[in-house]
Amino acid sequence: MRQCSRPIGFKIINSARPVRKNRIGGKPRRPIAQSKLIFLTLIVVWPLAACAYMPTIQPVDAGRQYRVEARCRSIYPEGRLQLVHAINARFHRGYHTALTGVIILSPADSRVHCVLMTLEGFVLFEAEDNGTVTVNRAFGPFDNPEFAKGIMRDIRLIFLAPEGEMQTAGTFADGTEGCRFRTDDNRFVDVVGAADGSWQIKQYKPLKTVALDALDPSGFSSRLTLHAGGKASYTLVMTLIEATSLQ
Amino acid sequence: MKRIEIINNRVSDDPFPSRVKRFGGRCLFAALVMVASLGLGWADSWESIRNAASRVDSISADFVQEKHLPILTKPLISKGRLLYRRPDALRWEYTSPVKSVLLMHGGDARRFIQSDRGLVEDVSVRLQAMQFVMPEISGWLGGRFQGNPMFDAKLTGINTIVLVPKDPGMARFIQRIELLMSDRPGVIEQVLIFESDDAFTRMAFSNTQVNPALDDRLFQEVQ
Repeated sequence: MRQCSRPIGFKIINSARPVRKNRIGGKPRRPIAQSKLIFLTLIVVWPLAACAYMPTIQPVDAGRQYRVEARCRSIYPEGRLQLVHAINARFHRGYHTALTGVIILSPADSRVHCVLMTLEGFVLFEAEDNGTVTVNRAFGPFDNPEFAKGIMRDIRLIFLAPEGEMQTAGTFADGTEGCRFRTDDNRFVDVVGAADGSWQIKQYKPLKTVALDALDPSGFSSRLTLHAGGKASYTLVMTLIEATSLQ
Repeated sequence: MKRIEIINNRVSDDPFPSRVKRFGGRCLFAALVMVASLGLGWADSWESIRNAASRVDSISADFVQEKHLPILTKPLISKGRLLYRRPDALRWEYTSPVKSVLLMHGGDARRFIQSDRGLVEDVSVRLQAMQFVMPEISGWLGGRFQGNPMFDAKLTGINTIVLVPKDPGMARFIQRIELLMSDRPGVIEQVLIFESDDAFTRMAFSNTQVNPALDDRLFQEVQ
């Protein structure tokens, strides 16, 4: 099933070369026939390009589909859980900083509690998200409502199964298996399992990818990397220090 | 000792707003109180503190840091070592669970953190903070707590100094600091930093050496 997305089409239109002006009169030099041709080309290419943006998942038989779906869901932890990570944050232009992150996940009621602190142990940010983000403590650059929402979105993307329907499960062109979710807020998220046991979570619009090392026997990835694209791109490398069940 | 690659990310333009820098400076300032307190001891009067401190030119110690938070089922443990040499040389190194090294020398402060490309510089700590931090450290190591513009200090109980921030901005960040002195002059047993009543950091020091010979290289190179 192919999924198409409008924004890529807008990007194509916007990336068209600007029309150059004539030296005299300032009118477009591009003849009308050429403009029509470009327009027609865009009409044809736009949907194709938009569809290429999100790879096709080939359906598989019902039995295999069931197994693929189960594998996709297996990467998300179950039960109440406390995770401690060393976080290495890399921003555009290559700037780095390091933090320690404590996350309490309650998948059953979709709650997240997050604490970020310096390596020296000073708490910079503490917030809870039960559908509404409540910031309990925030300092300096972390004292920003958009930051709080953004970090909770990232935590949910990484650790909680997307809220919405699993639209399809099957194989990608390269043979890897995966699933596509359509979330309640109309985003698409792919969960893709590689042959070596590693995983990738890919969210479209805004584009974010999470690469997870193969899960250990207790079901956790010891290292994961989130990359957010765009103008203010960033990369978070999260190394698991400890995972504790709070059941 | 294994040499670790350093990737220097210093560039001419700076993406961090001044707000970030001020905040980073505050973090660093608070953290350095712990370091400065290492040089104290034998604390039953301000005069005896000053006397003990006057004999400390350098310090070397291992530490275990415990972070206590209400949401944590058990404290987070970090380990490392501290080196200080009067007047302005410091190496504050975490060895686990994440390696990082803060170096200060000649008024310059740099922190390096472990990454998948070796140790890389954390620019949020590359601040002008040392312009005001180092004079403070010198004051503390000289046992001069009274009249400090940043903290009110008082001696309480046995061998304990309590520092309370004067600055409201700092008070939001740190409620108080308690320094517990060892019986050995110039040596501290532990530092407690309270962010709130139920959130605090405990640093316990061991293998403390007073006035060891410390090479310049230790404060200038990550190795």
